Amino acid sequence: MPLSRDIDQEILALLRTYRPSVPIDSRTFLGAEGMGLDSIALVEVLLECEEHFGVTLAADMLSAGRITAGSLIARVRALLVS
Amino acid sequence: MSTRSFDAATSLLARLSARRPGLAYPLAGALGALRNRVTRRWPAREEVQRLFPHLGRSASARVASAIGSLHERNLVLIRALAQKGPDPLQHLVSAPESLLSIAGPCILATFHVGALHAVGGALARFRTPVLALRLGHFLAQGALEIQSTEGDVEQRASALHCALLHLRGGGIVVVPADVAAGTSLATPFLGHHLRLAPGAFALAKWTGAPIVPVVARWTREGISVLAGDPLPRPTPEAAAAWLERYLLDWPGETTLAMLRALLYPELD
Repeated sequence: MPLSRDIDQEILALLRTYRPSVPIDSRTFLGAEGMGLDSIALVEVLLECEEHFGVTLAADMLSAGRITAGSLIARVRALLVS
Repeated sequence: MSTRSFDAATSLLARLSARRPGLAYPLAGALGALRNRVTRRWPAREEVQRLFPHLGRSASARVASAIGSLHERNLVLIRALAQKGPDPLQHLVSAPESLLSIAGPCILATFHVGALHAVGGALARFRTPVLALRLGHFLAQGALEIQSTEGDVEQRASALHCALLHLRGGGIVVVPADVAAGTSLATPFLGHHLRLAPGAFALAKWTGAPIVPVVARWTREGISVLAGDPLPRPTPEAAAAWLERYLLDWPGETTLAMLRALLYPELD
């Protein structure tokens, strides 16, 4: 089902508010070797996504290991479609 | 006595503590005071005065002795916990009913003062489910849900998120406030800087849960676990101010680890 929202851009825009000076694309890690978010900022990003998109994703994403902008986008997209 | 002799005595007392805690821990306290008197170190009187400049020579020497005594008791306690597990501790630890029946959501902030390793002995008796965020071997107790805060940033974030869900479910979360695995907040404290872990403050911001400081103190009868009033604001400055007042009232509750972290931050 096509989505009317440009989820990619919404999430990338949200991520850029946390690290305006870091170039962010779908392969960028949110934590180490990427945006460099610490554990608190990482939880905050996920909570903000949950609130913004009306989904629940933080527990699943955090237990799955390292998170990239692309994996976050894919997760939000999958939850919205389902 | 040589350092090796003191260490051997500590090991002996740890073994004795399981059968005769009422004898072993006071002896450990006396041994620590003796060690401090003989060596004039761990800590030196001058080091105590750098933290508590209002204390005179004899008062600061007494506090140095008390810190040495505390250190030895804690050493014996840690070894006893490692050898025998938390069960023998249960008979030693007391806590007021007001603490055991504290309602959630609530964040209990612990600090590296007093008999900090004994806090878990009281937490296991709480009426409300308790989740402990643990760094290293801290709070190695049985009847608690424990989330390790070790590992990479995702693992630490996962532990924090579990704590968040626990609070939203009306539970109690215990956070070591002055131990940071990653980012820490350097907060003015006793003329130096105390490095506080930001987890407790983030959880309070996300959930609105109050932060209640908790400490454990050696007494003649054993160990008392005590809670302070909820912090007036969920900020590092409020936590540091509470702890500063506590240690100004009870300077002998300063642990060697905290004293060293404050006086020699470059060693961390």
